[in-house]
Amino acid sequence: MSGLTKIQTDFQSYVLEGGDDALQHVVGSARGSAEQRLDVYYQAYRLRLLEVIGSNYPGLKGMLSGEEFIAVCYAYIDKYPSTQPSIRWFGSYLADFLEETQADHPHWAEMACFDRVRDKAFDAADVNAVTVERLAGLAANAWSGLRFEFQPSVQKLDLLWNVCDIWRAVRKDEPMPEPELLAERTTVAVWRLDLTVCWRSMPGDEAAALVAAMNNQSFSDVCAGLCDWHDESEVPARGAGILKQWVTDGLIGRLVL
Amino acid sequence: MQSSMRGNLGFGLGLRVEHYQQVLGERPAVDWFEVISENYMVDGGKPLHYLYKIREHYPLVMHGVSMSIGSTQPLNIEYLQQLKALINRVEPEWISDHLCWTGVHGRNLHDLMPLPYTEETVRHVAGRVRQVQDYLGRQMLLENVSSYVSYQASEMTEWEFLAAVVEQADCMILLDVNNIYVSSHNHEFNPLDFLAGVPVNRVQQFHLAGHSYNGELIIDTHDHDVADPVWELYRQAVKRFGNVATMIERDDNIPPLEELIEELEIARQIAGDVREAAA
Repeated sequence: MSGLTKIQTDFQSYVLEGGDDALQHVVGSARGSAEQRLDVYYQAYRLRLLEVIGSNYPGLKGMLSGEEFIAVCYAYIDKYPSTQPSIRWFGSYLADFLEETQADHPHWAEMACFDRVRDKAFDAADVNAVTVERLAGLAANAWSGLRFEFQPSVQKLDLLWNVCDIWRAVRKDEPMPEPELLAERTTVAVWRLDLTVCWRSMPGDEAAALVAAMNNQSFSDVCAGLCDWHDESEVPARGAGILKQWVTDGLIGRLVL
Repeated sequence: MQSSMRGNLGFGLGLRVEHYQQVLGERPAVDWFEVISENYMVDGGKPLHYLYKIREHYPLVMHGVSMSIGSTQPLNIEYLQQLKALINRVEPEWISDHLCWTGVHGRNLHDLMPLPYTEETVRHVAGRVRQVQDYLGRQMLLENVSSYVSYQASEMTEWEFLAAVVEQADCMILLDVNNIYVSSHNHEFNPLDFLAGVPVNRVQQFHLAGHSYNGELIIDTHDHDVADPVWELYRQAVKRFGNVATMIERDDNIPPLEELIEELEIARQIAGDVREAAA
C-alpha cells in the first residue's frame, strides 16, 4: 500500500468508525492535538449528513422528536456510509432501514418513503404533459390500442398510515394528528406539475387502473380491468373519467398510438 | 484544449436557492454567479429550470465538491460523464473543484480532506488532473482547502505543493483567501508566505467567505460575513495577483441578497483602492 493510500484509508476509518490508526499520520500542536484535529472531520461528517437527511426528509424530521430523529439518523449514518458523489442521495436506504429497525413505529418508514418519493419527483426529468385538447382530438379508431407514457416524476405509494395528513400538518406548522392506521390500504400518486410536487390519494379502482396503465396495458385492457370494480355498463364512463383526471393532473407525458 | 484563461469576470456571488426568484426578477448588479455543480446533476425540475433562466442573463462558473481529485481510488467516470453533460448544457466560463480527497474504497465523506504534501501526491494528483482535463476538453481550476490536520509525511509547504501540482498538471488556481487565513491560523504559518508562493499567472479566481471558531481552531463554515483579517489578506492578494474574478461564498445562515451585494461592494472597493494606488 502506498503512503498516500495508507493515510487515506486510516483517515477514513477514523471518520467512519473512530479507528485510531490515523493518529500516527497527523501532526498535533498546542492549538490542537492530533485527536482534536481529526475530530473536526469526525463530527462534521455526522452533522453534515444529519442536516441533509433533515432537509430531504422534512416529514420524518417534523414527525419525530428531536432526540428520536438524531438517534435514528446517527444509527443510519453508521450503518450506511455514503457511497454517492452527490450527498443528495444519502438517504436512499432510510425507509428500508426504518422498516428493519423500527418495528414498533411502522409509520416512520412510511413517512420516509413519502418524503423520498416527493424528493425524487422534485427533480425528475421535465416532459410536457399531454393536454385535454390533445386527448379530445384523438381519432375514434385510435382509442382501442391507446397506451400511455407517464411523466418521469409519477410514482405510486401504498400507505397504511395517515402520514400524508401528518406531513401536511408539519409543512403548515400546525398541530400534528396522532399516527393512525387508515381504514384501508390507500394508494397515493405523487408527481410534479411544472415546478410543484403534487400528490393525491386514489380510490381502489383508479389505483388498479394506474398500475395497469403504468405497466403499458392498453386503454382497452385498463377498462377491462375496471370490470372487477364496476358493472360493465358503467365502465366506459368511469374509464373516461379516470383518464381525463390523469390528463388534468398532468400525469401523462405521451400518448402512444 | 483551452489554455491559461485569465480574463476577469468581475465580482460574483454563489447562486443559492433562496435567491433564485429575486435574481431573475430584479437582475441585481452582480457580474456573475458560481453554482455548485452537483446541485444541478439532476434530470429536471426546479434546480435546472432556474439555472437555465439565470444563465440567460449572467455568466456562470461551475464549482464542484465531489471530484475527489486527490483520492487513491480510480476517478469516478460516471461522475465525470454527468459533469461533462452539465458543462455542455450550461457552457460555464470555467469549472473548478478542490485540491483534496473526499473518500476511498467506494465511500464518500462529503468533506474536503487535505492531502499530504509529498512528491508522490504531486505526481498522483497532477496525473489525474491531466486525465480530467483531457476528458473534459478544457482546463480546470483547483482550489486550496481549509484544513484542520497536517501530516507527518508532508515534505513541503501547502503553497509549494499547490504550485507544483498546477505546474505539472497545467491547470489554474481558484485561490480561496479565507481558506488561506483559516489554515494559516490552524497550522501557524504566515498567510503572506502562502500568497508569495503561488504563481501569479495561474490564479484565475478568488473565493471569499466567513468562518467560525471551534476552540483554538478556526472552521471554514461559510455561515458568517467575511472577517476583517480576510479582507486584509484579500487586499494583499489583489496587490500580488491583480485583476482576478472574485466571489463571495455563503452556504449557511444565508442572508438577504442585498446584504451579500453590500459585502461584495467591499471587495470592489478594496480592488479599486489597490488599482488606484498602483496607478
